[in-house]
Amino acid sequence: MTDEGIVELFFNRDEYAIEACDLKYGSALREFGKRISGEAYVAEECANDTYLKTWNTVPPKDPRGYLFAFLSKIMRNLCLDRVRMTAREKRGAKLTVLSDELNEAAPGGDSSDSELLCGELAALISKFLRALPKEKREIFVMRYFYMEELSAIAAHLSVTEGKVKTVLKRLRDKLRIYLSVYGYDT
Amino acid sequence: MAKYSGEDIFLAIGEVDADLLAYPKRQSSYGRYAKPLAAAACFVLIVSFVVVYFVKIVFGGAMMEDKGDNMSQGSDGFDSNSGNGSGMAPGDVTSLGCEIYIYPEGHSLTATQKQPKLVLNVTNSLQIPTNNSDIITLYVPEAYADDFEINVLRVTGNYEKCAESEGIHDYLGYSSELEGIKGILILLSGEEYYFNIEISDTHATLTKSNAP
Repeated sequence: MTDEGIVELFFNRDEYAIEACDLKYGSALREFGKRISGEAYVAEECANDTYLKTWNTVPPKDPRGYLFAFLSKIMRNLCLDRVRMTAREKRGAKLTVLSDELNEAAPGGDSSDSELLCGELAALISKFLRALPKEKREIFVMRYFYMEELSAIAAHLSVTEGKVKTVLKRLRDKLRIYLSVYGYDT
Repeated sequence: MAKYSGEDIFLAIGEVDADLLAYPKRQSSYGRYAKPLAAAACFVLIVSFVVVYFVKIVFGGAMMEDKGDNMSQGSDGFDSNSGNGSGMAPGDVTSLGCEIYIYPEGHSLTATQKQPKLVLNVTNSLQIPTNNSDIITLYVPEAYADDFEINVLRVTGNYEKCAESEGIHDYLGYSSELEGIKGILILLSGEEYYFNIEISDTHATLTKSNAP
């Protein structure tokens, strides 16, 4: 079933929408969740929560054309919340690695208003990503949103791992400069 | 100025516009090389065009000459392979689309019509195997006989028209004893073509010369 068809089911409040979502994207979402949390059962629970949240938000939201990204976004945030609720020391090594990597783009301190900061940052990063060439944006998104390994990104995009590393390094530098222009301390 | 950490960015990435977060489609290994391959193909194509253009500019005149030659031969039923492939300046004998075959005496034209042994070419030096004969025969297609003033062939020896006697219908033949021939002068459409003849035991060599 196409994304448009599934979204249409959500709009029609047809419960088959959830089953259709799971059939089409369930395994990918669970895999994604497992990458974030490191636990299969957490991924499974988060996937179910993702469907519920999607049911509650579509409509009014209309993710035609980017349904998987929409689901992944919910899944990611749910999994991260779940991970953050558990003991901090139990956070996946991967989250630490990625956060450390992104520290290069933001070697700053604390924020006084993390909610506001997150929203503003997201808007700026959206703008930043929109201005990037497609391939670079894909590499950035695969690494820092979908949390893929460098080798997996290289294999998926048929480029060398070295190229992925280089692109990511340059993008982090570029992002740091970009954010500093908008008043974020670097 | 707001402060932020890598973790803030990491979390904020989860809030970017969903349309930017599409999972990329898997690229085939072909996709990896598609651009370089396309660039290489374009390069080869451009170089080919340049080379073809260059060849056309440099050799265009000669190619056109050959083409015209072959076409007119074809219209007369001649084998186009028998045309002179070498480049010739305008005004050459063959540029009018005719061939002049020179054979040693006794040689059958019809038997060798498809692949004439010798084609008189103003740019070439020709060796006529004499086969121990002391007579050479010069054939020209009858259709072009009007373009030739065969009777002005300047030879010191005896030169006689012989085609009828050999029963060849499409050609006019002129024979001459090799002995005593110093050269052949052909008048073709008002232009003179002169060939020196040197005779050895086995060959008569024709060499184009500017002056009789």
